[in-house]
Amino acid sequence: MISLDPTLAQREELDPEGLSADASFQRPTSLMGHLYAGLWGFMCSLPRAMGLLLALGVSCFIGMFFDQTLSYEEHAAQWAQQAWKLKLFTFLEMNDVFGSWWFVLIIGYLLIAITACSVERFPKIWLDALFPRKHLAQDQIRGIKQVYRQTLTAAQLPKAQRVVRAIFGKRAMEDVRDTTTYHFLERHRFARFGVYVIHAGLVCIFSGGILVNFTKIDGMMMISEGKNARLVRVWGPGRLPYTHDLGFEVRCDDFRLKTFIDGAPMEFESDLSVWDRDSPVNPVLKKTIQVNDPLEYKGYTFYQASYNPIPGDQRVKLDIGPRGGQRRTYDVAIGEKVAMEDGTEFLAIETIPEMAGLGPAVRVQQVTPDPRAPGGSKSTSFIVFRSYPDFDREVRRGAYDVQFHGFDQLYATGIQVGRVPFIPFVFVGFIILFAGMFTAFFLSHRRYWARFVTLADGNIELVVAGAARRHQYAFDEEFAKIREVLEAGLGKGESTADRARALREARKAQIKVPMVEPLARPNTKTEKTADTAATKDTTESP
Amino acid sequence: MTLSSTFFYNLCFAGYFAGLGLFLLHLMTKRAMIRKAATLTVAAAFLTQVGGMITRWHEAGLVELAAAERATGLTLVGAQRFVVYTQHPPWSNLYEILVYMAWGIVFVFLVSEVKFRIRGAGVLALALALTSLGLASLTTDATIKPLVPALQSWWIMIHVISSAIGYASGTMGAVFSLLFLLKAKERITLSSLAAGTLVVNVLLFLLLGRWDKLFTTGVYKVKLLKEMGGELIPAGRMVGENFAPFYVPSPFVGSLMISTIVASVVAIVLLALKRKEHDTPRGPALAALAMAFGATTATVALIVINAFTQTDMQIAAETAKTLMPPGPWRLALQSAQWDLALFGITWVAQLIVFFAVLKPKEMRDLLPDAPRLDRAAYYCILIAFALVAVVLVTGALWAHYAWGRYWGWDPKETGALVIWIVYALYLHARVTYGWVGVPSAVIGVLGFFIILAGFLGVNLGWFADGLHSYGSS
Repeated sequence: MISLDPTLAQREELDPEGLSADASFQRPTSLMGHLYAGLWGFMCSLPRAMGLLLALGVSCFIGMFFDQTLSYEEHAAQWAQQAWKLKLFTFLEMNDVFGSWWFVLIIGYLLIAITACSVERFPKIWLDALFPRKHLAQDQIRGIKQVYRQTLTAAQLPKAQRVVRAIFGKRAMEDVRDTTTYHFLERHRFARFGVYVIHAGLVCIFSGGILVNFTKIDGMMMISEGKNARLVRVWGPGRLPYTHDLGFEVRCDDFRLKTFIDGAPMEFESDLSVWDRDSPVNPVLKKTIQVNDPLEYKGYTFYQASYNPIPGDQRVKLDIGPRGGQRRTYDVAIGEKVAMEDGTEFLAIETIPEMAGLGPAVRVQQVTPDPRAPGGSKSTSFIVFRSYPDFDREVRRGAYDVQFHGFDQLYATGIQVGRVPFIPFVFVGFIILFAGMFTAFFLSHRRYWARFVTLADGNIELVVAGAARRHQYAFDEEFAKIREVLEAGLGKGESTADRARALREARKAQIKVPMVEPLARPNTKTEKTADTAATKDTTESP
Repeated sequence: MTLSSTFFYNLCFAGYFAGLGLFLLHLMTKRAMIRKAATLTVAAAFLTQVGGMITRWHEAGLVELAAAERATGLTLVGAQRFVVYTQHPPWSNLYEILVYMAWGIVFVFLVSEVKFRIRGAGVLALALALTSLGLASLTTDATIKPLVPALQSWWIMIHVISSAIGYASGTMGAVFSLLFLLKAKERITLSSLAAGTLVVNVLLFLLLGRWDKLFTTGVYKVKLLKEMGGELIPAGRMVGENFAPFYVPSPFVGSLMISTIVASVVAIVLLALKRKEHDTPRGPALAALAMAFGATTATVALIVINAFTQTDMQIAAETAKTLMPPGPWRLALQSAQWDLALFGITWVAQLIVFFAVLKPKEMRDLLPDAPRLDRAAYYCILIAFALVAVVLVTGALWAHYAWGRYWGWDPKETGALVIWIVYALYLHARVTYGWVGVPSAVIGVLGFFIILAGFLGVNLGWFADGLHSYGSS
């Protein structure tokens, strides 16, 4: 049912004017010439390009079945029962289908095929678009589906010309050669190049994609709050980890996490700053990044990807001051000492997330210098509650009172680092692609011809024809309207379908009674016999 | 009474159902009045659904506001409030996506009804939309949860809108292509069409029966459920951090599936041998086709019957211990809702083809002329191609901001790419080979299955896990 070789009818449909039919192919003479021609033909082959598209689709499906996020070892464990399975798996690089040699081969081949196909066909279309056949010729009419044909008397001529000019408008060409007048109009001529624009866009995208694949850096760095980092953990070819030096440092100044009541993360953000030795001013850049809002510097993009609480590494905010006096806020790590003016030291020993139903609390040790004590100092420990700020002031005695302000859980922020140097190239490709798709799919190159031929008997034959490259059905409707106008002014003409029907009837009559009247052609004018074969093919195919 | 989105959706479900009935009535009576009434009913239901989606947007906005205010302890005002209020569009989990797909299909259908007026398309489009809505209400969790950070982006609007209309457009293209294949008797016979539907049927049975496992074990497994608080939840166990539902054999379905596959293969061979001689199959080929269709019907019916009768499932004691929640367990429509939807779609396609085989003339008289069907399919797929390209580009841009890479060969991304490639094949086949008509219609119908695999298959975990997983619950 499905043939790869277009039939004559289909070829006519694609090339209604039979332009490619007369393009003669010169056979190469030398061996190298043969090779080149063979290779070129191989690359230009459309069926092969289609097969490639199909292969690309199938390989994408294969890549979807094998989890590409797992490492080779994890996959290998699954396939290791039989040696040949593992070998096949390794050979085909199924753990990294989209970076495997065969996938790159398909993409590369497709790239060459698209380019070759376009280069092969472009010059002809270019010439065709630059030098359209404005003068309707007899051989052209054969392949055109929409034709109106009418024989007029000389008296009708001025009216007919008025009608035709009204239809064709001011932009149409009008040319008189000998006794024949030609009209020609075309619309959206450039839409013919839409396909090439699409292909150019695809080539841009594909080649950009391949370049990106070889040059991109995609890694992770975990930076603890208050720390700097310049090494990125990167997954290289085959998903092997290695480190990449940024050449500058990124510091996480702060990390903030907001959670929903059920503990699910709502929003998280990091304050990042960039410290670059090459720059006279540091930090070079400061930005708060969120999940959908990355920081960019020197071609690198830093995304907020994840976070990790650093266990045991909490900071505690304590307000300490003389009893009843002004308190100051200290931000201390667990075990870090805060010294007062008189030598008294405070340190937070441990944090208690929940203390006997009274909420979060912290155990604080107070070390007071005391010459009478054995070690030269006396130490006491007590608990302060976040929910009861005045607890210590009211309950405990001493020179100082302490208020627990809150924890600050320290986090390491997970930053995904990416550098995709050729991405603008890819996006230009997409813009080209969309422009091409618009011209190729939504605009249609349409041509309209009219021809007044003075016949030998003094009558005038008018032929109005129209052809569209795309949206045939819409054009059929459009031409039907043109035909209505023509018929209203000039009477019912003859269409290509009429001629085909007449021809079929003539043939049937011929077959039925071949002996009696072999040359009978009822309802057929003599001049039609010349273009019978082609007309039949184009009109009968739906 | 407060107007909730569920109320609107139920109303809209009823409207589509009425529209389906009216379109069927129109096919029988061919009265223009009924068609007008059907179209108006569907249009009204469509507007109701739009109302439902707006209401749901509002409901989600309130949820987001409450969550944000609870988390921050602040009362949001002004622009900040507006941003949080509008950031949760009604297409952010599987339930909403399914409702939204139904919306897209009806939207594309209504446009095609204005533009092409294809008789018979209404029935199929509404059947698909109802399937999608039914699946939404059967399967998925309809509660509104605050958005995860990766989805809080304005790209979600354009990305999801174009994907819904694009995929719906491709689906309608497949519907028109199928109708074209029924109509175009010059280049394709009903015998080969029937064989084609049976091939799809066999592949689907093999896929859902888990290929070789169907033959080695002879059972077809469905999810075990437990009723809890008026809701059916799957029974299963925790494997690490993931919940793994427990699958039990649906009684007698496995053997019925095997016989369906055997009958279908026999019918395919018989039909394929005679596909060029007769337009409609005769004799043994017709008998085999009837057998295959009957077996398919019996299989689908048995799954449904099991769902209603198997209310108390007995499990081996040692397995029962590991299961949570505890019994009594049961089967229900939710046990195999996705399988049923897929079986249902192919069953309807087979029903139509079977009807066409029995009454070829009547069927073809019902349909509009072949060029109009071909044209409708072509435009639908053209638009699908353009919109899937938009989906790919906006998806890449969004991924750049959310996940830190443009393209990562995530199964969902790859699925969209495959859909695009298939439609590129369709368009090239038409333009460069002149494969207008039957061959392109075949690609158009296959495109629907690629959409199913690429769009839903990924969500349902037929492939490897991906980042789009929040669409799956």
